[in-house]
Amino acid sequence: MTSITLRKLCKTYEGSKHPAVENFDLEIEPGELVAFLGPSGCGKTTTLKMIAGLHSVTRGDVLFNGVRVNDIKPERREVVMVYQNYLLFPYMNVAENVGFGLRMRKTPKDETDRRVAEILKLVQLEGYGHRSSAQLSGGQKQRVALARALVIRPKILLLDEPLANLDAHLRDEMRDLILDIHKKFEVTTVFVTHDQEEAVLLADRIALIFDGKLVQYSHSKDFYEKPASERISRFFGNGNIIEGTKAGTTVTTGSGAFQVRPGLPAADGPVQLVIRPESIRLSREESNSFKALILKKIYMGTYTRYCFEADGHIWDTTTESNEIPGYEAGDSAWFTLPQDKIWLIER
Amino acid sequence: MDIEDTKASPLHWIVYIGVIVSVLGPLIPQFIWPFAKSWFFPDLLPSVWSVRAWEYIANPNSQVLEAVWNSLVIAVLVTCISVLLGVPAGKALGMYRFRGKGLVELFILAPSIIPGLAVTMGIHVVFIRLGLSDTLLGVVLVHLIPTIPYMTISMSGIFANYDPDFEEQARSLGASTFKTFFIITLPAIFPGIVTGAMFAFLISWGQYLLTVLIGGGRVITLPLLLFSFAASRDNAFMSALSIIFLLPAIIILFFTSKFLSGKSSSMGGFGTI
Repeated sequence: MTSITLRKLCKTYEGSKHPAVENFDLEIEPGELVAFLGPSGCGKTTTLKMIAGLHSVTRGDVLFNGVRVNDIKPERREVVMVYQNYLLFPYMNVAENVGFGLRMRKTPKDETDRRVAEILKLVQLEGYGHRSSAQLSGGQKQRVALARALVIRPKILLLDEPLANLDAHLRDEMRDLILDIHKKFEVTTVFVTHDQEEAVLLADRIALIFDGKLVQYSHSKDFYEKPASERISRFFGNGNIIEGTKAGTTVTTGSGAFQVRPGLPAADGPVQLVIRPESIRLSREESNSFKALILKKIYMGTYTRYCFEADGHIWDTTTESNEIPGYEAGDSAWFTLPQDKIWLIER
Repeated sequence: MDIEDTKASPLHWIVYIGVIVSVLGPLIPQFIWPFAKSWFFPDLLPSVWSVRAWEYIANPNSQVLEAVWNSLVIAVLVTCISVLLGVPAGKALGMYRFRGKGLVELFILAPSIIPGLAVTMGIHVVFIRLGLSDTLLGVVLVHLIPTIPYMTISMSGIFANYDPDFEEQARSLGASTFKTFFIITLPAIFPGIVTGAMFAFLISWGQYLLTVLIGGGRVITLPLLLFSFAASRDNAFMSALSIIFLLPAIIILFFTSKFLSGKSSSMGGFGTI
């Protein structure tokens, strides 16, 4: 298994003033499954291509197992990239596509045939070898592309937006397949996505990238519960961010004073109070609660979403539909911010 | 894209046959004339047959073989140079954005819009000074004026559809740059090269005006002979020459027709896959 280390990695494209990737420091453990997450154009694919050797490095180093690989050509890196649009070679059939990497390695024909058949079975495409790529569905193309990458037993597997082009039901299937493959082949895997849900579904750890800079690298849970900044919090779908002042375990905001758990890293002084919509409870009057006017009620099936206003802020909460006490828009209700669910961002 | 297979109805057959007869029909006398000595109205076939037209063509004094050879050399050189210049130019126009691209496109297209005669006079003066007029090289160079636009436009269309990620994909699967070019890039752009090269060859092969002006009558090509025979009103020679003149077009069409059909040109650049 192979570890990946990025050390002060920079990339500036020719003719561009702004670096696409700036001072990346990142350590990916052997066999880990890591997501590069960020809005489009943030530099995540550029970083992926630098790991693959397809883009040159402007400054800094890429290391595999501690060995610098900057100058190793892509075809010698044993790193395979699977593109978002699959890129199956159009004039080759499925088996020829999958066997491409083996042929480039001058593997004997009978061994190539055997390994191609094996891997096609693994991706549930047994007997599809003679089909042309035009005859395949999107999900099938994706699986051929994966098989083509895996058949050469790469040290590192790179996936570009692996679930982006798939329908909802295929996404789950593909996610399971990728997780299975990752487990079975023990291959260090990095994938790129702009969809936080996709990142959370697949990755052990997420590297969040904004504007070419790595802003947070941690387990997916931390992004929900311990976002490092307001922007990260919003990127993960949480807009409940309220200005306040921290003193000890009390945060005073325009909507009242809230008790927070001790030991939060934010220092006393101006802070932003962050709480996820699903953590806010509709309740009676109790500690850490305040009364507010419900502006909107949106029934979403399993969940119901309320938007309410307090002290000029629009808050958001989602509650399981079968638990709601029957409030409607226009009602006033008590909302509780559970002490252990509040996170603070230092300002 | 699937094109539905439908059985041709009788009406279709009538149209097919009509087209074939009207296109190929006039060519039939063309193929009989070279073997005729006397063929007068209302005879359906010549009254006296002869191969004198072919004897004359084979005779070195007639300059026909020399002209065929010159035409061939010029057309092949023109085609090769057009490919060498047109492929990179087409790539730049099809794949890159750069300042002044519209202007470059206009300049490349200009020779196919502006009549050759208008510029050739000026070029002639320059070529005389450079010692290029009345030479084969000069003729090759001047033929490039109309051929390069075709080549470039043909290639820019291919490259506009071309996804360079295919090359990266091949590299990351273990193909060297050399193999990537021959296995991935070349097959993708080949239909465009064939189409463009075919146009280049035929434009050069059929070129009269530019050859006369720059070659000054010293560089004898087939169209030049054709024109002088046309004036002589000898149908047998005229027809024999026409057949030779037509030959490359038929051969090229035969070998490249599959690249011109809709199915394969959509493969060009892997665009629709």
